[in-house]
Amino acid sequence: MRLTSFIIKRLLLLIPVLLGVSLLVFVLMGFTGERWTAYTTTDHPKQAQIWAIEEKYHLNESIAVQYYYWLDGIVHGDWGYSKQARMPVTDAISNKFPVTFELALISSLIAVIIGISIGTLSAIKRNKPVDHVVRFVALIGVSLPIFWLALLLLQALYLNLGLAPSGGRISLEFDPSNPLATTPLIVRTNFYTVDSLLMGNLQIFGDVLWHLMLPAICLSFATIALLTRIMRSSMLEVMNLDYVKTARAKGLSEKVVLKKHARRNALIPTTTVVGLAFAGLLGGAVITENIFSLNGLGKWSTAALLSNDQAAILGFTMLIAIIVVLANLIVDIMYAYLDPRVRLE
Amino acid sequence: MSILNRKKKDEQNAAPADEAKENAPSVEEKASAVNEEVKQAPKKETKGRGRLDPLIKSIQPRVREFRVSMKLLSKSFLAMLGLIIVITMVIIALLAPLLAPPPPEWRDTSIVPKYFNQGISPPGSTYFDPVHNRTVDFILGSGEDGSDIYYGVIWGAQTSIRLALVVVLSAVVMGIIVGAVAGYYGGKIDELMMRVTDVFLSIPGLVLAMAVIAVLKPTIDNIMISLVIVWWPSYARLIRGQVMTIKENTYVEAARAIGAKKNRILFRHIIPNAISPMLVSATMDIGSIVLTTAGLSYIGFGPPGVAEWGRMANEGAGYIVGFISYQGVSYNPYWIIFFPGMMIFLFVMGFNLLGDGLRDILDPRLRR
Repeated sequence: MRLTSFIIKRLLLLIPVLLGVSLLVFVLMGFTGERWTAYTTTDHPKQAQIWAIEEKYHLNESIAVQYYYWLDGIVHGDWGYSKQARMPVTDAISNKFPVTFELALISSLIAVIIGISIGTLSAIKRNKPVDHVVRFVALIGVSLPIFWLALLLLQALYLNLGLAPSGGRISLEFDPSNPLATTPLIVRTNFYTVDSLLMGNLQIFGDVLWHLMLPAICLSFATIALLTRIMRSSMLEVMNLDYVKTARAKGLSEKVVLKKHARRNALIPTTTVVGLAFAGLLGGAVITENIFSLNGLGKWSTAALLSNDQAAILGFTMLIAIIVVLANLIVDIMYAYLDPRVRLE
Repeated sequence: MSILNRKKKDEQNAAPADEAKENAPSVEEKASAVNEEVKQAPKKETKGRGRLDPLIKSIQPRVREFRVSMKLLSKSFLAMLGLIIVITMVIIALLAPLLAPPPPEWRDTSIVPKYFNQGISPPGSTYFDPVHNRTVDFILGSGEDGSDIYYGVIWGAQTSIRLALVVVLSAVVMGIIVGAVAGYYGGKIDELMMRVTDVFLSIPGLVLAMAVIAVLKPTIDNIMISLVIVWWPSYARLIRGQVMTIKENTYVEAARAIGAKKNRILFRHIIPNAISPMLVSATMDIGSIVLTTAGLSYIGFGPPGVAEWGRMANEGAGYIVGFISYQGVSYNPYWIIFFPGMMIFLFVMGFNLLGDGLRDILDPRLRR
């Protein structure tokens, strides 16, 4: 009961934040150019067409009215037309979101598995050589420029060793957009991993994973480092608490103490970081997608920003803000669920 | 041992608490005050009673704190490594005109010189410039259009340090103003200001910075503006939390009881004490700011031609999986991205190591 009222309260609190984001973005976009450009489908519309658009979207009225009708459009699914993607923004989002989501999901999985295990290890072996190595490597992880790592990995694994593809989501012979493909992938969800499994073709599935490997490693690198550090510190904190001492005192084996008593509780703060990191990865895939030419949200938004594609910029920023805000909410709820000591206010 | 002795001595002739509090220096004064204290040190023995005396007494504990911190810092190998990297970067930035002298006719030193006829060439190659009748050495090779990588790598340190310092300082000042006001006065102001920070924090930093630069032009100054917009909300949050804790302390209550004005309490008693935790995050943020700038310039929002490491690496991205031919030999031009990237990495690493070390020594649970 208290949880539902908490969720409702938090959802209501989202409204001013999202309104604020939309206002911020709307004002920012006002500086980049004429607003009608967000709704044209041609590059050089005739004056009459511009007037028609201005009439339809109330762009010839005061700024407050413009904002109102723009917001009205957002709520009703009219997000404008992206000239970069050559389709309406809503279509572009549903087209590109799976690419980014797939990448973010796989890299968070990698990050969670590696980060939590070496973070725990580092805490257990505190101040031993293993701990120093882990801490140092984690520091390297947060200091490495993602694009640099990506380019060096590409050079080593693609150019020199031939172990990785140069980019893209799928090999040419399976590419659904390639008319000469021998066995083209049948796109149903645009999650290529899911689609290949739906086709029942493991060869394509392997190929998709092979293409995801390098980008996912690059993207997960910084998150691994972050999770390792959080996991290590929360594990160290938990290991000094009384109930862990009690568990040891009553003669439980060290393995059980660490696994069931210490690690489970140390995972609570880590979970929140995972949630936020995942939202961050969705927005942070910008650099990785550009380097590995993955046609996701990040690459689209970069191209949109560089070519002043208003509707796309607005749409992308709103979408990412909604995702981050929702991720925050989910993390808060999970936190309350996992840790009964947290009181929901 | 010596620290303990000094501590005892100081406690004996400590100034009355009130006087000390009244003269608690602001942060800006602190740095210069430290120097002053050092100069004044011999006078202490002669018992000279100058006008500065109350000030000296009030800062003595802070100076002692500083000395203890430095001692602890020097014990940590990684923190010292970080400090050495940071100092090296500062020296490179300051000595850039000597390390990589710009061509005499070069007006804007922040722009990397280009020798179009040279094209991409490997480290160690030379070029004879017929126009100015001189030979140019490409110590670290040349990039697209014959841009001098070594020059960019050296002058990039200056660009990065200047940019990071300006951004951190502006963001900290903005954060202090907003956070302190929100935390101290509370109520509706607090609610409003926190919702504003929510708005900024709900857009990922890179995306927000990209959007701001798309509106403005991609110059170094505009990158700074965009990064300040990205960074101030987190400082506002941090300071707000600090202020809310500190304002419950007894010494703030004491100040209120003796009739100090609200503003005086806020600026003299609360803010100076709320600042030290920001030191750690500011140090680490210098690294992240340079990293974000590099990312921004890498994806095409960099200032054209400027000695900025991310933008320089961007020049090489198109060649990294291919080969170029120079004087009949084919090369993979790794140097265009390797050296600038290495500098970014070292720079960020240095500040992260230092920040980590600072956090350890500033954490009261871990010291002494």
